[in-house]
Amino acid sequence: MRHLIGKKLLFIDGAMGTMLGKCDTLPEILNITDSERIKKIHTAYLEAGADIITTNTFGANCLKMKDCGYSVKDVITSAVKNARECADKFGKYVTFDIGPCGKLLSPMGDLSFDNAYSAFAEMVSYSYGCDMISIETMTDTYELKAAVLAVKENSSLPVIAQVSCDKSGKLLCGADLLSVIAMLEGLGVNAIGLNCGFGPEEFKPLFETLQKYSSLPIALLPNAGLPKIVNGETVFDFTPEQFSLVMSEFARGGAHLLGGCCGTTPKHIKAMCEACKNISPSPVTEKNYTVISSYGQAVLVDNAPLIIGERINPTGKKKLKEALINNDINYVLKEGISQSDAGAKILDVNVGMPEIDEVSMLSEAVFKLQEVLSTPLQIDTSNTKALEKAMRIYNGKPMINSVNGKQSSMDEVFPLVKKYGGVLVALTLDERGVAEKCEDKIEIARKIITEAAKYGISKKDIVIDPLALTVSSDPNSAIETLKAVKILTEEIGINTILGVSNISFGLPERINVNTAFLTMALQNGLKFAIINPLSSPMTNAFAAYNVLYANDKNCAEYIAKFQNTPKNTDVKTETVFDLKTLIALGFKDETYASCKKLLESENSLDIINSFIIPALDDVGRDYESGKIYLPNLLSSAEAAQNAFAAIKEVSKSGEKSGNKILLATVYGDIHDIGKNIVKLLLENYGFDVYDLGKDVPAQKIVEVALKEDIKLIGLSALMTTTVSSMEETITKIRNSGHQCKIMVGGAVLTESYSKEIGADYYGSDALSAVNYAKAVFN
Amino acid sequence: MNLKEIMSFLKIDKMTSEIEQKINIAWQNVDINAVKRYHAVPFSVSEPPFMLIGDDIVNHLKGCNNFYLFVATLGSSIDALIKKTQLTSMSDAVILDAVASSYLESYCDEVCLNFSKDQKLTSRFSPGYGDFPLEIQPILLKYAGADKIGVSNLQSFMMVPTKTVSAIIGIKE
Repeated sequence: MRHLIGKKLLFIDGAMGTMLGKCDTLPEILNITDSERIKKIHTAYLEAGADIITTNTFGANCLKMKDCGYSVKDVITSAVKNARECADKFGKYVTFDIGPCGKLLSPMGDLSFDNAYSAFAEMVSYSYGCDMISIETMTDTYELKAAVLAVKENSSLPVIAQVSCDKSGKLLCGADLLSVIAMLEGLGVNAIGLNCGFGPEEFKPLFETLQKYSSLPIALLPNAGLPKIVNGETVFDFTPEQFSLVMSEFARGGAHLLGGCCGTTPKHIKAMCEACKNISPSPVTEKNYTVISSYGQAVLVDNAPLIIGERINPTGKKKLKEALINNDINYVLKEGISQSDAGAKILDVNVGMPEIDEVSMLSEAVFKLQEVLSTPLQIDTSNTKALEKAMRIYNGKPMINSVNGKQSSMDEVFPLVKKYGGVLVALTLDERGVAEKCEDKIEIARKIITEAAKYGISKKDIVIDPLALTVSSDPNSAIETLKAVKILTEEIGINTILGVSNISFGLPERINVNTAFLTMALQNGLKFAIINPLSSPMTNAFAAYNVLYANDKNCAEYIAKFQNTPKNTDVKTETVFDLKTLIALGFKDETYASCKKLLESENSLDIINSFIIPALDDVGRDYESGKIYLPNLLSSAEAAQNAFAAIKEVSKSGEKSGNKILLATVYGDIHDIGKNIVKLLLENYGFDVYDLGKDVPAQKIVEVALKEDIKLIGLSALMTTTVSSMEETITKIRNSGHQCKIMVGGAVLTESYSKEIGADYYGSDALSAVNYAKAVFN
Repeated sequence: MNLKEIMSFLKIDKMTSEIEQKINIAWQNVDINAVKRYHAVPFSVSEPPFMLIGDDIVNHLKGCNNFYLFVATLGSSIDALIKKTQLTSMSDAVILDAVASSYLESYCDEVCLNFSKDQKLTSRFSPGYGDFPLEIQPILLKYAGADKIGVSNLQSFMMVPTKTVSAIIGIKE
C-alpha cells in the first residue's frame, strides 16, 4: 500500500453516516448488530470504483464508547472483519478510520495528552488486517499529534492525516494549514489531507495552500456540497456530476487521494471515478520551506531575519532562577508574553539549573507557555531526556537547540528530530572543540548536514550556529564567524543563527558591540538572531536593518514603531501625582518608578503604611459604595502590585506577612478568573497566597493545608455541578482534623447554601474575601 | 456590540470613557482571535433523540413540531487570550471575559437571524434554564454534533471551549 500512495491516483469511499441515516445507537455498533447492512455499504462503494474503503470505526474509542455495552475490541474487530471481507472480494484496500475522541485536550480541556494517546493506541492495537490508517476530521493539532504518535508507535501501516477547517483554512484550535503541514511532515505521516466542512468548491483555495507548502501526497474528501434543511432533514446540494467535476479538477491539479465525506453516496464516488479515469497523478515535489510552528501559528522563513527571544534562560538571571526554584511558572509566562509583545517571533526556553529537576520543569514550562501563547518555542537543553519529553508534548513543530558535531550528540538528537519533527540548531563544535576558524566551522557544518541526511533530515530543517565566541579571548572571532555566516548562507544554502551577545562578553558597555555585530551578521545573511527583545538598542538596530534591506514594506513597521516616541523624553508633566494617587487612579505603569523614587527618601514600611495600604483601602471603599467598578479596583490592585515590586527589590518589608492563605478552584471547575482576582487583592495586603490553580482535587487541598499549616482556605466554584465538589472538599478538610477557616465564593453560591455545605464565610465578591481574611488574622 | 449587556456582565452602572475604550479594544481582540463555529441539527418534538426533562422545556416548545439542537463557540484561542491577559492585566482580563461572553451572544443572535429567514424560531433555551437540568448537557452536545466544532464537556458538565452556548431552539409552525 505504502508504495502506491503518491504514485497512483487512489479513490477512497464516501460517507458511511449519510448512508446509514439516523441511528438509534452508535453507528460503530452496527458492525456487530447489523453487519450485513455495513457490508452492503462497503460493497456499494467498491462497486462504484473505490480503491480504498474505510472501516466503520470513526468513533470507536473508549471515550465515545463508554457505557454503550460493547467493547472497543469487539466493535473494531468486527468492523475490520466486515471491511476486509468486502475489499478482498474486489481485490481492494481497507483503511482503518480514526476520528476525534470527542474531548478537548488539556490545557484547554481536561483530557490529558497521555490519555488521548492511550485511547488512540487502543484503537490501533485492533487494526491488524487493514492496509493503512486514516486519521480524519481533526480540528485540534494537539489531538492530531496524539493520534499520529499512537499510530506510528503501535503500527507499521502507512498513515494519512486529515484535518477539518473553516473556509479560510483555520482549524478550530486556531491553527492554520501551514502549522498543520509543518507538524505532520515533522511527524512523518505518509499523506496529508482535508475532509468535511464544505463541498468541493470551498476546498479549492485550501488545496492550493496544501500544494504550495506540502511535500507530501494530498488527500481531499469534501462533503457533497453545503447542507440545507429541507422538510426538517439535512440535504447536501451537490449532485454526483457536480461533485465529480470538481474532484477531477483536483486530480488534474495534483491531488493523490480523493474521496467524499458527509452527504456523498456511491453515486458520487462512481461519478468521481469515471471522471478521473484517465488522469495520472502529478509527482510529489519536495518544497524547500523552513517552517516552525505552534498550535496556532506558523513562522515561515523567508527573506527577512527573525528575532528569537533569549530571556527564558536562568544564566545570569537572578529573578528567573528564584522563580524556577519556587515553581513560579507565572513568572516564566510573563517573560514569554513580554518578549512576544516586543517582537520575538520565537521564544527560547531553557530551564537548565542544578537546583531543579530540568526534565520535568522543561516540559512544564513548554506546556504552560503553550496555554497562553501561540508564539512557537525553541526547546533549549543539553539534557536528552528533558529534550525528548518536551518534544513529545510540544504542540507543533518546534525549534531545537541543539545538536553539535560530536558523534554522540548526533546519535542522540537526530533520532528525536526524525521522530517528532523540528527545526534543529546545529553548533559548530565537535570532539576537537569549538571551531574558531571559518573553514573549520564550515567543515563541521557539512559533517552535520551529511549525517542528518542519513536520518532523512533535510537541510531546510537545520540551522547552523557558527558560535561567535567573545572577542575578548579571540580577537578574530567576529571576523571568522561573519565569514562563516556568509558562506553558509550563499554557498551552502542553509539558514544560520547566532547568540549575538556572546561576542562582547567581558567588555564594558557591551550593547555597542552587540548592536554593531548584530547588524554586521544580518548583512552577511543571518536568519535567526537570539537577542533580548526588550533591549531597545538591539531591536532598533534590527528594525533599521529591515528598512535598509527593503524587508520592511514602505518602512511601515519602522514608522509604526517610532511614531509615538515623544521628541523630548524629559517631558515635565503639569501635575506629578504622588504614589497614593497613582494607585487610586490605577496608573500601573507609573507606580514602579514613583515608588522607587520614594524609596530614596523613605523606608519601605512607611511607604506601605502611608501610601499603598491607605490607597487600597480608599479604593476598596469606593468600590463597595459603587463609586468605582471592578475594572478600576483591579487596575489599582495592579498598580499597587508594581509598587510592591519596587519595594521587594530593596527590602524584605514587601515580603509576605507570613499569614498563609490557600486558594483553589475545586475539582471539575476550570474557571479561575474570580479566584485570580482574590489572589491579586490578598497579595496586595501582604498575605502569602498558595494558589493551587483550577480543577484541584480535594485530596491535594488537604495535603497542602496540612503541610503548610494554612489557617484560611478559599474555594471557588462556578457551576451547580461543581458545588458538590466543593462540599466534598470541605468535608474532607474537616475530617482531616485540620483546624482552619474556609471561605467560599463563586457566581452560583448563596449565603445559605454556603452554610449548608459547611463553609465559614461566603464572599459575594473579591473584596469581601479580603475583608474576611483581614478579620480572620487579626 | 451590545454595550448594555457588557455593562451588566461587569456590574457597571455608569460608563466612563476609559472603560468604554477598553471595551472597544477588547471587542476588536475577540473579533480577531475568535474562531466562530456553530452546528445545528433538526429533530422532531415527537421523536426527540433524548428525553426532554422538565415542564419548562415542554412549555418552550409549545407550538413547535420540530426543534434544533444548537451549539456555537468562539473557540479555544479566546480561552488562551483570556488566560494570557490575566497575566498582564487582571482588569483588562475581566473586561475581555465580559466582552467575549457578549460577543458570543451576538454571534448566536446573528446565526439565528439567518435561520429565521425562512422559518420562525423560538428563543434559545439552554441546559440549566428553569427545571431543564444541567446534567443533560453531554447528551445534548452529542446529538447536536458538538464534536464537529470541537466542543465537548468536562466531567463537571462545563463546556469547553468556555465561550460556548448550547441550546434548544424551537421551530414554530
